[in-house]
Amino acid sequence: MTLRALSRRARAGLFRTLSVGAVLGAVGGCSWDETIKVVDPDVINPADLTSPSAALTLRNGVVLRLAQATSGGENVLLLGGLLADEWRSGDTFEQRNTTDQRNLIPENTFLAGALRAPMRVYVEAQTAIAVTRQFQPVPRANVGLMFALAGYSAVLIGEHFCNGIPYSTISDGQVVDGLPEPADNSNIRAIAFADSALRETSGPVADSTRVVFLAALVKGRALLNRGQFAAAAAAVAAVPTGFLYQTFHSVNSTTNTNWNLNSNTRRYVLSDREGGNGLPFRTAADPRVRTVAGTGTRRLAFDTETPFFETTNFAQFGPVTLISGIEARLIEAEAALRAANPAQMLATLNLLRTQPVGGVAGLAPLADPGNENARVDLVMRERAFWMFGTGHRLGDLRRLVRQYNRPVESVYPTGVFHKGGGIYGTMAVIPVSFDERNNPNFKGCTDLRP
Amino acid sequence: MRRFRMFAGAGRAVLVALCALVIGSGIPTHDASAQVSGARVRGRVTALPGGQALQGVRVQLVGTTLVTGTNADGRYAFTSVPTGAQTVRVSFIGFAPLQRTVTVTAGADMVQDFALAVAPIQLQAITTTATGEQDKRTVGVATTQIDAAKRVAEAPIANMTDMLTAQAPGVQVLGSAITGGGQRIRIRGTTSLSLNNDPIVFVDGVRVFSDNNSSSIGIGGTNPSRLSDFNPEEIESIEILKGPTASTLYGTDAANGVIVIKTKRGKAGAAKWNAWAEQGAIRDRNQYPSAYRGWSRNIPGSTPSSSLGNVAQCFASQVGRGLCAQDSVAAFDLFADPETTPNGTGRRQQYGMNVSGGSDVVQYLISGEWEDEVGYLQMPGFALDRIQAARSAPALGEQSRPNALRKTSLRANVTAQLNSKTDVATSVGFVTSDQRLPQTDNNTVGLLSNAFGGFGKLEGGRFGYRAFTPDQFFSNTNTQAVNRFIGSQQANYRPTSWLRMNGTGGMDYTSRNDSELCRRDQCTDFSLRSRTGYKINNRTENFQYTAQANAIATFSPFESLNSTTTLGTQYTRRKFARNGADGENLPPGAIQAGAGALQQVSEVQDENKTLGVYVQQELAWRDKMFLTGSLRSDQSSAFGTNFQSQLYPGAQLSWILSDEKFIPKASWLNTLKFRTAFGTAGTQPGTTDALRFFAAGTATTETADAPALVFSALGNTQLKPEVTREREVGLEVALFNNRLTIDGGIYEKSSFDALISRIVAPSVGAAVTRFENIGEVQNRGWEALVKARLVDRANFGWDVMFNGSRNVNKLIDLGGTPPQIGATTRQVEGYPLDGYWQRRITGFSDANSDGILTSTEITVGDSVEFIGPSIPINEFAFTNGIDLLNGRLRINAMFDYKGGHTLNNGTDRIRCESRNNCRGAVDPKAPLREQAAAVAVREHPSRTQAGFMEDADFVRFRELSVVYRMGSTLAGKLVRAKSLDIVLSARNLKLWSNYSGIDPESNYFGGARGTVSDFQTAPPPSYFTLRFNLGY
Repeated sequence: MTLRALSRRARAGLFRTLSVGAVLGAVGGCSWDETIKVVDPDVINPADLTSPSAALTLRNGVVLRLAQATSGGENVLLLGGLLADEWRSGDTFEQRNTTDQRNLIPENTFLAGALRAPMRVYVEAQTAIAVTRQFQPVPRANVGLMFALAGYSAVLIGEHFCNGIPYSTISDGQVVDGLPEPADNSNIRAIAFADSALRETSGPVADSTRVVFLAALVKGRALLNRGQFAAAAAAVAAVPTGFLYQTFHSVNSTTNTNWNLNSNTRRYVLSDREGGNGLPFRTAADPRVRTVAGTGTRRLAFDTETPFFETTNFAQFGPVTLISGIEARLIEAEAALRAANPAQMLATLNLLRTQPVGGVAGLAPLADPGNENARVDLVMRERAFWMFGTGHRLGDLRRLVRQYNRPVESVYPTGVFHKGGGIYGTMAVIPVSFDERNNPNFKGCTDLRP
Repeated sequence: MRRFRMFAGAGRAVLVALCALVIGSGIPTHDASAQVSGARVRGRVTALPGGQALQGVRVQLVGTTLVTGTNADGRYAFTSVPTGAQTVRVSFIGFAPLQRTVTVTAGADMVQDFALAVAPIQLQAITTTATGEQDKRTVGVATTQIDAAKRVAEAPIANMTDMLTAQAPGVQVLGSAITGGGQRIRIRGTTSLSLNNDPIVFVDGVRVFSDNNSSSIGIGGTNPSRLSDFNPEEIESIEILKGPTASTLYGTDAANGVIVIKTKRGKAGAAKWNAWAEQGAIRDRNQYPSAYRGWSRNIPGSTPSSSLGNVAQCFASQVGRGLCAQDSVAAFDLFADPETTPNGTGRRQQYGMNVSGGSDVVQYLISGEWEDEVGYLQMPGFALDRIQAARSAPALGEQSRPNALRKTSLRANVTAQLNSKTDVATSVGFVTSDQRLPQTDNNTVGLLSNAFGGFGKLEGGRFGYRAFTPDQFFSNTNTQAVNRFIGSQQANYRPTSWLRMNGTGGMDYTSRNDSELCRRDQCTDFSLRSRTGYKINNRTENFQYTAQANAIATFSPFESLNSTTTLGTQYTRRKFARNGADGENLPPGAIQAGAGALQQVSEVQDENKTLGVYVQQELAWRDKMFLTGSLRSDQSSAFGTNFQSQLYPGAQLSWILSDEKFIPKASWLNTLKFRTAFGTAGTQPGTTDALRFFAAGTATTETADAPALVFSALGNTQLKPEVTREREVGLEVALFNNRLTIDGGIYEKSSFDALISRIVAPSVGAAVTRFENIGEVQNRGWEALVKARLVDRANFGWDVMFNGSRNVNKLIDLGGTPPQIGATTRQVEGYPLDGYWQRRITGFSDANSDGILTSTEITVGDSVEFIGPSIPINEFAFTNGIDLLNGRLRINAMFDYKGGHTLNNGTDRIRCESRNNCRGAVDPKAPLREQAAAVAVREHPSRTQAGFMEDADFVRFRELSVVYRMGSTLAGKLVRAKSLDIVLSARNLKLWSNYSGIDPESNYFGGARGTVSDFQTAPPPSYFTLRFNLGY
């Protein structure tokens, strides 16, 4: 039908409709970007990070991330201690109970955050390095500190998680999925970052020495994990015993989670001879792990079942020592033992015990237990007490299996679980969270060996 | 000035659209057969029998834009009517619609009267869409209209949850058990995996806040909803547009349906006064589980007594394994003991009044109401005594009755007919409320975690509570104060018979003050913070602006074809701003955040703007077949920078088959309508979901706190709205002189490009999630609404209403990402959202016949499997209404069924798993099924919770009301009123269910999908109310 064939009324109506259509086209074709533009003051755009101040605040961000990863939120330090023998669960949360019972599964919803937190330190430190190099290149120690912290986070990851840890990256806003790596690769990464840090140390003395000592300890720890005892001892030789690297807390940043989950909310209980193999952290009455028994309404833990014990090592806003010069001496002592020099080992350990260090003084000197296995136990015990709650214990249990050929069931808690009537499971490492399967390269831990 | 600027963008869009349209469409045309030549059609509408004038009847000139209403004398008039054959259609609630054709000549003054027959059961006549009111017969989609005014007058309606529950097929409403708690509304299932699934709400044309979980301070699960702010007494009707087929023109954000609320308006005539008064009681009549304790005899190191300190109790399975022996098993239900129960009698009262009236030119309605509800929770006697002893003063009222809501609402609505072509309507509503909610639900320091987790004994100082007692947790006061203004201005302009324009502008301003106060030494000793006291005070301002305009043009290209073209635009702007203060370690007596030794502040703000333009073309063939196509284009500030606009197409067909000659005419068939539709609508991402950004924080160094930046969000420049497509087919039938109506259909709804909050692999070291358009969620189902007037005699009438629906939900595609795994629910392709997954208990057997199950006597499946959907699949509501005494006495009873779903009895699970007080774990005489569930979760390596996942079907006697309408004579004698209704009503009277938890509707819900938890949650209480409705 042609237009002419339409009635006059129809043509008029059609004209109206076409007019409406034309207007619609005009309106729809307009750009309304200005009309819908909004400014969100809650966010900071990447384009704003182009100044020395931006570099400084990004580095501060890494410090904040480090606190979150180690003492400002539930983290691998706590979970590792729960899986090992430092803490026992006084909680009702299945996630903590199964960790304590060594029944950890990748679906445990606490695991994703525990890996993500140190990975954030690792990733954001590299961002801070790039911005600092561009906008605040001196002093170089600022860059060195970021390298050292990235290396530290890699060590933590390698000591706690199973084999098959991917390291993913972000490039131009897009995720580049990492490939699964043996846990030992984390040590290799840490050593590389520590070496990078040691090349970026110039600046004020305090900043410079901090980077040097921190990087040395990261490198020494990673080398120890790799079984390179002599190299580890050499790496930390220059670190003074009194050196500390700590996280700090305040009402504005983070609360000390060790204090919160133990002293405050009683979800974590100071452990003692857990599962038979555990160390007597409570009953040893050792001043390095200051112990208080709960009384009154605090006699029981949060689950109203487990007797409650706390350590006063931590305070709500008190600093948490992550790395110290004490560890340097402990590495040297272990290296001496591995070098068949037990006398040197004992001397080093006793030097720590008899001089005021780490707020502790006057520990009785140790005697040589007389045989290799007992000396290993002694070194590990000293490490456990000196570095309680600092994320070393699970790594040491793994090393006992890996480097000293101890059976898993001889070093981890075993037997009847302390509550509920069940028995301990078999996990010796923390599995990478099921959430990591969003990385298509990851199909699960490649193995669960320590 | 700032507000004017806010509207500048929207105003420009609206003006451009309307001006262009008027210019385009206003070009003179010469339509010989339908000229507008000063002709007039008028008449009067009366009721049959009796001839009583009917006011407010909708009168429409079919095929034109002319619509009007009758005045107090039942009269209507159209001027400037086109010449030719014109059909006048009238429709009014409670009466059968009617239409007549008149032949209009130039300058004629035609009279067409109507006498409408009563039809108390009828198909819906009018529906409200984005373009305004439409004749329902022309609409090809399913909508449901709720006669709100009638429900309020006759049923136990305390809030919007009560108003909507079981009223519309396919609309599932789950209310809160706590006074002031919100409601979860799902229309045709859960559509979005990661975005909000609540419908959006419009009141008198403007979009309003209806957010669930509308509080910045949690109490453990239950939260207020902004939909609860609305006063049911002010509402005339509620229209529910169920999905994208009906909500296409609402565009982005309308995929979950639209609730269109129209408030009451005045009618011409002398002032009419109405007053109402209501008093009621609230009782928790549910049966709670007892706490059990197995007192041990020979556990080494344990104290063989029933002292509280004897933590080493002997469990049933340990008895079975010979590990210990029980002295006795104690059981205590603290809810059943008057000394310890936190459940008392709540009280509800409500008083209100409205006046309405006006002339043919201006009509008004002014109303006000005061409402006060004190929930049933109370501090038990022992707790009051403790407080008296500790403080040398009684507990504060807010502490002894921790759950209450007090609300005052005011409304003024004015409608004016400025001239024969223009009318305007102004709506102004204000509500102020104060609410306090108790600490409860999933809350360590809340009521139910302590009440359900107790030691199974009264003695011991905690009166059966677990760790904390009511004098402690009820002393923590959580309040919310709301001041809310909703105003709108609507205008209709009809310059010619073929062109109509309407516009709406308005705003919703909500000021919210969330507060939590824990006075020093008055709350629990859970933490240092609770011991030393704290105050949180968060003040929030929410702005929601709406500007909308439509131009509607009609013409008839052929005698048998009418065309209606609509062009419109809609602009919405939402802004949220909150300042928060937190003060900790308070001095004694201090109640302000600033008094705390440790202080923190926070500031949050976000904003969203959406602009849409749309066109709709309707073709009406012989006024019995209606084909409508529509298209909307949206741009939003929430979209990614690389994504410009989203198109939402839709189409629908309505065919009045009963008007066709090929359908045999039968006296019993009044209307048969076929409808089908296709439509799309969206759900938009959050305001910052598209952005890659850093966030500010504070790092503490050895010297000071310092500003810090952390990488916060990956962003997604390609981000676009989640688009949901829906198609439906249905029938609407009216039979037997409109005494039986059936409205039913089937639908399928799928969200393509569904926004998935994709978990970012932890190894990326970035945000936890990132939104990506990668998924698909599907809902399929059917709905039916059947109304029948079974008996219609003077002394006895009986009507029934049945509404039923079935919805099957399925996650089709997760975009290649792995299943999302929660503790008990998972998102797995091919299964419903939030389905329950566990390793199933495949069997249990008391092999040694000792009556006790141990872990070796139960078998558990090797792998996790699907247990059941967590959201009801089937829903049926059946309402009976009986009229007696010549209609003066009416009895209404509504029964509500929900089923086909599973519920995880999380309360019992935690009682067995870690509270150690469920019967299955403690009592060797417990049924084996209970023992199996307990042993599996406590001792089996799987730790499976499957034993607590049960069918949750139920039937509830939801509403009962008895209404006695006094005659005017008696009402005049008693209270000098023209009318007096006395309404006795009750809600939640009886439950039938095999679910072993307290109540399958015990819940709180959270997250985007409103995932339900029966985890230390309260069951619904019963309401009993007495109400008086007076008319003057």
